Amino acid sequence: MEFVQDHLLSWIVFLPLGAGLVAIALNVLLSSLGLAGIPRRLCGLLGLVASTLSFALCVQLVVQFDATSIDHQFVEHARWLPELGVNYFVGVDGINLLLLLLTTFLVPVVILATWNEVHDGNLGYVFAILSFETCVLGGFASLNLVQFYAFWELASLPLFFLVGIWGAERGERSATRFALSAGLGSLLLWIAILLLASLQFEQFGRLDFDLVSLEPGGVALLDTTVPLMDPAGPGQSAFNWRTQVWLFAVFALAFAIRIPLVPFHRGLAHLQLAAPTAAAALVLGVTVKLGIYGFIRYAIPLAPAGALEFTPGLIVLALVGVVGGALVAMSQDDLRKCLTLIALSQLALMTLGVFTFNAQGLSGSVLQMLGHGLSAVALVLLVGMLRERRHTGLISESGGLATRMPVFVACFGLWVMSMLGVPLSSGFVGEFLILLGTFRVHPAAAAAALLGILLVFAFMLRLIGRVLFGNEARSENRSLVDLGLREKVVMGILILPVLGIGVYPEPLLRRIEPSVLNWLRTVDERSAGTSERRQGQRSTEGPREAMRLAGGRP
Amino acid sequence: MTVLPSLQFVAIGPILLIVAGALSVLLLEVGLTRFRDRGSPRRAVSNFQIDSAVVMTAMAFLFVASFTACVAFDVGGATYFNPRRPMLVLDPLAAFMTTILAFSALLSCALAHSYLAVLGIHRGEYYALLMVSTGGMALLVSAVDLMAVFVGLEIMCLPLYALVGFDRQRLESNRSAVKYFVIGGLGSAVLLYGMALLYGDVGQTSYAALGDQLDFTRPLSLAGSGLLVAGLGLKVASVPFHQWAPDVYEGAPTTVSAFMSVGVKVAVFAVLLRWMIQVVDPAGESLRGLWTLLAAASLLVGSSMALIQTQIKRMLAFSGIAHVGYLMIGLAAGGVAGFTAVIFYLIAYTLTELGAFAVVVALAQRGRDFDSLASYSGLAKTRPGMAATMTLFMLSSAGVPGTVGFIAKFAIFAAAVEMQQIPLAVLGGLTSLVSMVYYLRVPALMYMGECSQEAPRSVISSGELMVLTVCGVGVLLFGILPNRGWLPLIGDLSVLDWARESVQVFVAP
Repeated sequence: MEFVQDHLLSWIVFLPLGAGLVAIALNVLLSSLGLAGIPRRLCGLLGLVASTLSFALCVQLVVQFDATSIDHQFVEHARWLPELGVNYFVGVDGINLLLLLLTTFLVPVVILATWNEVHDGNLGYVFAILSFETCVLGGFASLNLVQFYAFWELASLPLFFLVGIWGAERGERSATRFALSAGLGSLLLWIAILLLASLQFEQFGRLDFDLVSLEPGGVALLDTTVPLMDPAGPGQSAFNWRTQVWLFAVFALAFAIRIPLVPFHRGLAHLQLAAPTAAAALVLGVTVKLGIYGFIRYAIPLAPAGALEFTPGLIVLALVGVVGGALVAMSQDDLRKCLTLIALSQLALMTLGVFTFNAQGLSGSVLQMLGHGLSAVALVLLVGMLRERRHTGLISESGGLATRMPVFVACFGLWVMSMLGVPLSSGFVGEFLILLGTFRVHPAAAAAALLGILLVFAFMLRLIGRVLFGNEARSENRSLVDLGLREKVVMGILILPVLGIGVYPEPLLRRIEPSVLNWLRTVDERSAGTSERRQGQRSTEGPREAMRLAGGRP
Repeated sequence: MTVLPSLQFVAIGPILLIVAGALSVLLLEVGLTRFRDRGSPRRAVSNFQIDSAVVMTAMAFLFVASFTACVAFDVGGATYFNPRRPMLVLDPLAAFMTTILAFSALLSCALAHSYLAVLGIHRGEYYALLMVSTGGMALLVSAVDLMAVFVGLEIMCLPLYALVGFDRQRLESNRSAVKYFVIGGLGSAVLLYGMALLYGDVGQTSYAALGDQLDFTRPLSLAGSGLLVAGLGLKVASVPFHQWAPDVYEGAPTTVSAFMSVGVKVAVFAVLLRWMIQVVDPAGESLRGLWTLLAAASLLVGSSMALIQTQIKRMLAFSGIAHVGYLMIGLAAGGVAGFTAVIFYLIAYTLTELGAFAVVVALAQRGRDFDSLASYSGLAKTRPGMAATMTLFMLSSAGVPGTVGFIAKFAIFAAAVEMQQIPLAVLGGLTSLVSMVYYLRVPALMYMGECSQEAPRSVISSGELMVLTVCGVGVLLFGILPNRGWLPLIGDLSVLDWARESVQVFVAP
């Protein structure tokens, strides 16, 4: 037990993959002995147990997390390729704590919810989901840029196979398309790494991709000076592309492709159409957050001056996403595509929160990642349950479900409310904080974002009307069966944290706050010289005071 | 007045072992021929047992040679075969390269055993030729004189011509052999002409003298070096001297393609490394433009042509050209970091490429290669293990994290960045993305395609299993824990340390 305690984070990250590998090894052993291999039901159970164990460890992590500290906790550091500056370096602070919790929570829930899919998919399917979990968790826990890159690139592989093998008919094409766009993002991230490496080598004569150095006098990334945007300084060539502006541009493109922000959203929409329910849920719930997390963890702290330079553009882009996502969603007939577009709109909102550069906006984003993850996953799972029964997810095919499936309808309505950010749900706290933070900086942007939120609101109400109530569009709908026990359990498990966060966000906010304030300080220090540009934008009060002022805490 | 006692036979120990092995295999084959099955009902041993004896002998000699070279690396220091007139040397670089070469030849022998039987061309000469060629490679990596380089190169290539045409009944095999022979001869001629020019310029052929007197402002030096690089570039199939490679790889028996694509590249890149370190300049400043140009051309042509191939051997040939491009980025970067990266990349390439070819070999049906990409469709349903293994090698070739290919590429790019060659590194990243497309196509076909009509072989021989295991474990082990020493013989040194030590001797002040 002590061994687990000492390497808690590593256990959380690698437990799912380890379980998957053991299962595969066992399967190979069994079949080489001439036996039938692991029975299918056992495969699903194994995935469930492994991911639940990982979640249990993560809960322990959250409990032991010291909310007063601004340092990275549960740090593990091991030399991997010291000459190339790559180390195994993981740690937790208030920003990635919730993301880890969300991921470990969602995977067992998703496995349970898509039990029939898991049963059809056998061992390979379970292995893909488990290895995917490890990759995403590794990405969230990494404090070394190259390690982050490695997990980030690896995460798209299990997805590629999940969609290609177990997806819809032409899943292979969507999977390839997704893999290519993910590859493009990886390439850009790689270029950013090279850029940083060249600067680092020039300044220190050696490489170290750790984000922060554990010992004083280290040469980690945050110790590396990235020149500000001034290109024509003395002794410099007229065109210097190793500046914060370029570095941030490359980073931002990479992460914008991964989120994805507006011009890059088509690949994700295609992927979602073809993906099996589990993959679709995990992508919307978890993977997309890697992009926003990348902004928070790497892009902005490493090139804050560049970030400031691009802030107006990114805010406009985010607003286009917020409003556009809602508008485009209205014209869709496929429920899952609808949900994806709505999710994109909300992701854009979270990005907006990050680029307010104040405590409210950022903590709102972090909290909203959690809340949105829960409600988006729940809705995708519900649609998946509908698809399982009707083999279609078209809005025009459904209608009048209320009389046949009352529990389904109740759940659906509840989740839509939560996604919309009705008070007392997790969505409310996050959205409110983001809007508050945005209003402090750009009132106009806040107004536009509010417009987008209202659009989503209107659309979702209409959607409820068409899908749940209204006339029975097809006679097949008459024979629909309501949610079974397993599905009810899933919904029950999902609803608890949503209400919990909505009613009493304090324990989470308390853990987020020190890290968020520390993050703002770091960004301020690194952008020295340009900080006067942001005068008057900062407020010292944390998100909790803001919530109190707004009466958000009952 | 004896010259003989002053000769240090230790310096050519591994080479002697390999050549002795070749001769033993030949003798054994001849000696055992009379036991072969000639239709008589009563015989003491079966053909299979004879073949096994031959293969075992070859593998034993190669293993001992590899082991000896490994020990020599551990001992360190440089031993010249003839100290009065240094032509051959056993130093860490030579020892390390010989270890790799002998070991990959060993794996090639293991791979060939059942494949040749399947194709119906099982003859003992195969192993003798392969070992003579390996001997030539070992000679090449320890050559410190232009004459020795040329002799080594010819000893390496001549048996290869015969090996490519080993399947005498098949037209393509013969055609490839002739093509390879003609082009290889041309390469040797170009190389020899370059050497002649260098000799004309400096008046000596030893690396030491060349290193002192070579001056790239003199036209003869420049032309001679250029021709030398062109000749060697032709042997490793770097663009623009690459056209022969896909045709030859396609026609040759797959085991020969595997051996060629790995062995020749390792040996010739060892020559290039030594040439850069001991003659041109260890920092890699001069000739950087040339390497940059060749690297960029190889990367672009190799990866874009690999995209449109429909046969796996041709695809591997073109992707091999792209790999040459990555290796040349390392040469362009130079310095300890660059040369170390080249050596590590060679190891990664050896494991990955041998593994990928081994999968193709292990699937070959009676009398026919399992070559067309379409026939891999749906392989995961019929041969899940092979599909998974192939996926691993494809991912490693593409440089996906967690495999040795990632670390190799990373080392190359880091070296390029260290020398401020960022555009080259970015180009490498871009072609990596392109390579993802053609490498991922294979697993996509295997896992997501419908089952093809063509059925693969359903049993795997022990030799093939051994090669696949060694390569697969190597790819994962060096990819996940590159910084661990695994062989107790060399203490705590990891593969990366090996690679560094074998070049550091020269470059360090």
